[in-house]
Amino acid sequence: MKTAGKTPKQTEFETEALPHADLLYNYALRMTNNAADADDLVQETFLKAFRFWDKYEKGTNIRAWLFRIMKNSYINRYRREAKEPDTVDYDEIQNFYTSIRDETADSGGAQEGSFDALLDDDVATAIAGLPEDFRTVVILCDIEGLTYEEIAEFLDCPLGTVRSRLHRGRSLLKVKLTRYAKDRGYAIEG
Amino acid sequence: MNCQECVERITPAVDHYLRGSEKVWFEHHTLHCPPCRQAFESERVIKQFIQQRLPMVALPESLARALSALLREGGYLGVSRVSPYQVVQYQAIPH
Ligand SMILES: [Zn+2]
Repeated sequence: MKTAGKTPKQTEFETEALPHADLLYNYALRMTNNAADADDLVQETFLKAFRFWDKYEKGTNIRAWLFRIMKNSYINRYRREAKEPDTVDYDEIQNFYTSIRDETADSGGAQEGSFDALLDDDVATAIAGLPEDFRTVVILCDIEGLTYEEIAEFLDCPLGTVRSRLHRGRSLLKVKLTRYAKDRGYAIEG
Repeated sequence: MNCQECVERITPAVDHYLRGSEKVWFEHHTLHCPPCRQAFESERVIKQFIQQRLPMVALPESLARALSALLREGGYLGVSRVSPYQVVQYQAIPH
């Protein structure tokens, strides 16, 4: 196929950046829990990426670059939430290991089948309700299947932070899902 | 390994990052320690549940078309967004 009418920049962008639209769309969809918002975010991201394509350093992680553009767009749109103080890190790590057992005791262990009766929408809502930092790693790891290493690169943070946020995110999600299930009378206590 | 060392490894264990003796140790500990086993199982179930319920979705056709349109026009025409009208127009163009 000839690429007549396309500039080299367009061809390059199409080959290198566009294939990652799926990754960005799924991230946006689960972050916003709204297809129209996800659509907007993806378009905005690619528009910016295209305009600043010469700023992309060839050979570096294109997915991380695109992800950061999207993250900025997300923050600009949802500024109110983004203003939550970003001080979770210390407490998060300090309390990480000591709290695991307590959490398990609090909400009961999630067992296979515990949440079967929940709707997919319930699950999407529960994820969308997680604090942003935890939501991000859960989406990237559990939905998009990225490695800890790649997530750390996306977020420009240490591996240990990815791991602790992931743990915390899943724990919070378990609490939420357990509550939904109980509210609906699906789950048996414990 | 004690329980403290075990709980530190629950998340990487759920994500299949443990290898070699660390993995063997973890499996041995959780086999014999019900609280650690429960914590591990609990996190494993949550991950599995998310994966089952919210698999990756395909990029909507309309969005894929809008992205191609952005690419064609966005760079030099300076449009900030493709309007729904434009998307409809592109839709009508046979490939
Ligand atoms: Zn133990």
